[in-house]
Amino acid sequence: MGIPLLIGSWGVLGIGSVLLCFIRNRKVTHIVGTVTVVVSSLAILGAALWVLIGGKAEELYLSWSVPFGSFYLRIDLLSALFLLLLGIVGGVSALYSYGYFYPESTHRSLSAYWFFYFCLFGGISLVFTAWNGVLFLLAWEGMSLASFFLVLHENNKEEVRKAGWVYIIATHGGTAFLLILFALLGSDLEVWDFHAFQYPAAMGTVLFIVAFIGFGTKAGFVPLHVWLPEAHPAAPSPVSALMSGVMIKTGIYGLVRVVSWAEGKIPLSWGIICVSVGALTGVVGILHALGKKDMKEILAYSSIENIGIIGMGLGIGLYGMSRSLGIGALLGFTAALFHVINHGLLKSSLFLGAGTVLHTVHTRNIEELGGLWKKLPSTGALFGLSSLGIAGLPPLNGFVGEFLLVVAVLTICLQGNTFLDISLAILVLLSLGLIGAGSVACFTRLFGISFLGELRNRKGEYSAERAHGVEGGTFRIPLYILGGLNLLLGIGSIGLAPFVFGGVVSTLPGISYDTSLGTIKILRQTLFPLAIVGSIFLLLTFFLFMLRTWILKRRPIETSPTWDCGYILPSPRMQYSASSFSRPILRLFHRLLPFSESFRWEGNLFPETATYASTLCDLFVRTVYEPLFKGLARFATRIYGLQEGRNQVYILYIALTLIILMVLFLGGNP
Amino acid sequence: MSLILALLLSPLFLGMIVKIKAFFAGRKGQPLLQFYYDLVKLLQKGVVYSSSTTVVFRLSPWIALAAAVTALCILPLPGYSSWISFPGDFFVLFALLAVLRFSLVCAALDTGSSFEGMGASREVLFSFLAEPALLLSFLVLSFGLEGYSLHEILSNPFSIGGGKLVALYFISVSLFIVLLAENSRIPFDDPNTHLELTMIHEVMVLDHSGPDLAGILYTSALKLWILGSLWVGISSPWRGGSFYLDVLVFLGSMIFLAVIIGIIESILARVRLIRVSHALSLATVLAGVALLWIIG
Repeated sequence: MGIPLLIGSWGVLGIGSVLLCFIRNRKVTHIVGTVTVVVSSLAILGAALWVLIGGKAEELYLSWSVPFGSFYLRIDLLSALFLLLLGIVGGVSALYSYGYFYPESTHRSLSAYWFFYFCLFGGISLVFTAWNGVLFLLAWEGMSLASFFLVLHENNKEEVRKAGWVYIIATHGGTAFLLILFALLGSDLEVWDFHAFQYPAAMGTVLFIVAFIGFGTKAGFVPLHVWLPEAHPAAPSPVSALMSGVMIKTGIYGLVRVVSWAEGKIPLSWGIICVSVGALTGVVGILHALGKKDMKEILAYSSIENIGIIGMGLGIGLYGMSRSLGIGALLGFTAALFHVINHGLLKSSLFLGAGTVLHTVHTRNIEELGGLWKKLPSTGALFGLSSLGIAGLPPLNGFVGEFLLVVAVLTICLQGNTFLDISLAILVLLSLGLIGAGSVACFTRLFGISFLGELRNRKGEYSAERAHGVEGGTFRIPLYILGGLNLLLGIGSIGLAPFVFGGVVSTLPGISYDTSLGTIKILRQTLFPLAIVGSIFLLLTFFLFMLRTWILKRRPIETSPTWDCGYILPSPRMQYSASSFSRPILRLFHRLLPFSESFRWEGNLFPETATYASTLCDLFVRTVYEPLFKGLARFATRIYGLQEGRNQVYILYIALTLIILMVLFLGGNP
Repeated sequence: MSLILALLLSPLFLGMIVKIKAFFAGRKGQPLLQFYYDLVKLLQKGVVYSSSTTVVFRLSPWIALAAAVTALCILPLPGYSSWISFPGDFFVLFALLAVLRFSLVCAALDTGSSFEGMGASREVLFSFLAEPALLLSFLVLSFGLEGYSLHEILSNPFSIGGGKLVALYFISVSLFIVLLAENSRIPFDDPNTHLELTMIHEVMVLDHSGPDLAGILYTSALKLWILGSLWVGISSPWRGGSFYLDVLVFLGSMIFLAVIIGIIESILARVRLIRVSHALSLATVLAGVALLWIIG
């Protein structure tokens, strides 16, 4: 049933696209688009669950006249796991799009938006199920182009066009590496079917690095992450949710697939590369997230940080495989895949929440916000809940992956016991410590500054009925769905464990029965107590709050302004700002990060006007990409002189070339 | 057992520190049970809420208290198993302390007061520095003692064996620094003053009142008890044979810890804020050195 449902979901998308061409009424177009994606995502969900619960892979083979190509689809447990994420996030984001674009749908046709949304949704699902190199690349390219057009949705803005430009260059750079990868893998094959893609692992390091660059660009590993903080703020929020929640995970999916084709023992270097790049990505991501002021840019950098955690999980898995520490390896991969799912759900709910904020106040700059909870209570509550989750704290799901990663590292450390094992363990735990505490700082800042306190700037003023409209149905339901799932998966992570674990075991070759039994035991031993701890915590919170309410029933409850040490004329502008909140941490890293501050003070003894500004640029844009592209541009201008524009000079070039060629080829044998 | 001891005795622990400080200053000091009186008094009062605040502010003391109590369910009495013990449980314990911090920082930002914002900012800064030290310390312990859970780690740390014992001392010092910083004690912070601009933890709770404040005070007493008993667990070598003896030894060690904290608070001044990060980096470095010792 899995394959028919998958094809059915594409059929629905096809019918939807045809309908979009013929419907003239804009509102109907909008409804058709939403319904199409929701139905299609339900079909995808059905396919994924069918395969996951049945535990058996399904496939469909049709021959195809394209060179190296075949229309070969296969849903195995790993694909089904990723399809599950796509089904949830894709459907929920489409539902959210309905409310988000409703005002726009009255004066602008959204058929282009919906068409590219269909393409993106279908493209991602084909990426996860294609079992042939050509088909995969085609799906990959379709997905990238569709998301490019979605990023350009508000193309009347300068910065959106710039972001689209950065995105398309980065994504094609990545695709170029994928082409090389498949060409290397399939150099002596007639058909690039995935079954045939076997390579000896010992010789495969170059292949792995090419795959890591190609897929890592999509996933957002440092230093290939630069497109994320450009594209996410520019794209409409539901698209950011789908891109950050699911699309960047295609990179992780691809990487796992490439690893699964390796035959024999994997070299140690793979795991070490993966862990080190992951650790760097995580720490760099969270430090940048702390310094940014644009809500969606913060979320984009936080995605980079979480990709770092996933990368560390994969790295520990690879390392464990090459060290023959099976249990540690399985735990590492399981941690990574758990985090893929959980981060997808959490980050999409945060992006949707950011969309609601943007829709209400028309600014993404958190320095101007504050006090949004009072206007948007349910969005605020769900945003706060997701912030707690993405900061990696129990009882939400963001914690589960990080926790499993720690257990994996401990297992590697205790069973392996060599110097290298422990060095990797130190690297992972130190970066997890920095990432964990950093993301608590980052998300208390994001949530606290924008939703709590008082509105900071009148520019962010909004009308009550606007907020009321935003809090209505289609805005809230997607957030409720995602919030509920996050809480459910935080407590009931043990329910998801067999699926994730099945995905890992079915993909990786050469896992012995004993190892997987041992891992299941450890998973059960760790995840079940986690559920108990989470439930105790929730019950205690509820009980204590009820107790407090009961105590206060007979007591006076007064309201007064915040006590500001006797100062009588406080203004909202005096609140601690987002920049000041994170400044101490950024100051600690001022040698490392391009963090600059400027302070101007006018007046001598008595304070008059003073200005302060701080900016944090991207470390790698500043140190790598800007010099690189500047150098390229300089080189190009230098050789620009060759292009004279006069025919005589060009004829001279031709003559010179001919003479040089003659000398070269005839010089040897006169 | 450890849960009941903590719930009953943690305010007394604070009382003892204050008593020792008073002794050093040549004063009589407040009664040993003053913190209990404070809690009872606060529980009988009404509350004043700032008009800026939302339900986050009302919930936060109780989220924090729930997190602390849940953490206590994981915390074992040294040598014995806790209620909930599983591989990697120390990471969950630290995560619960982070939940505690998350909720208090959010409450502080909810008031919109610049003082509380400043306190919140410093709180997250110090935990940013303390967290790596904590995790590294427990990696060392877990690796050296070959145990995955707190129960295995704390059951008998001194069995680690001759040459590696030095590592344990390093960890002990490192954890002690983290203990002082996380609980905002001198030399990192002064728990007595409320309004100096140097304040961290206390300034975050300026606007809490009545039962809410009682919840927060009790939570911070519990937090001190949690980190204190972790420190005692790895620093005290005595494990008696019988359960009651062990409880007595544990309580004795806690009194010893109170005396040390009291003495440190009496003879040291609070350091400049910029030095705090140095001290916490020292904790991380110490844990790193301990690790080298264990490997080598």
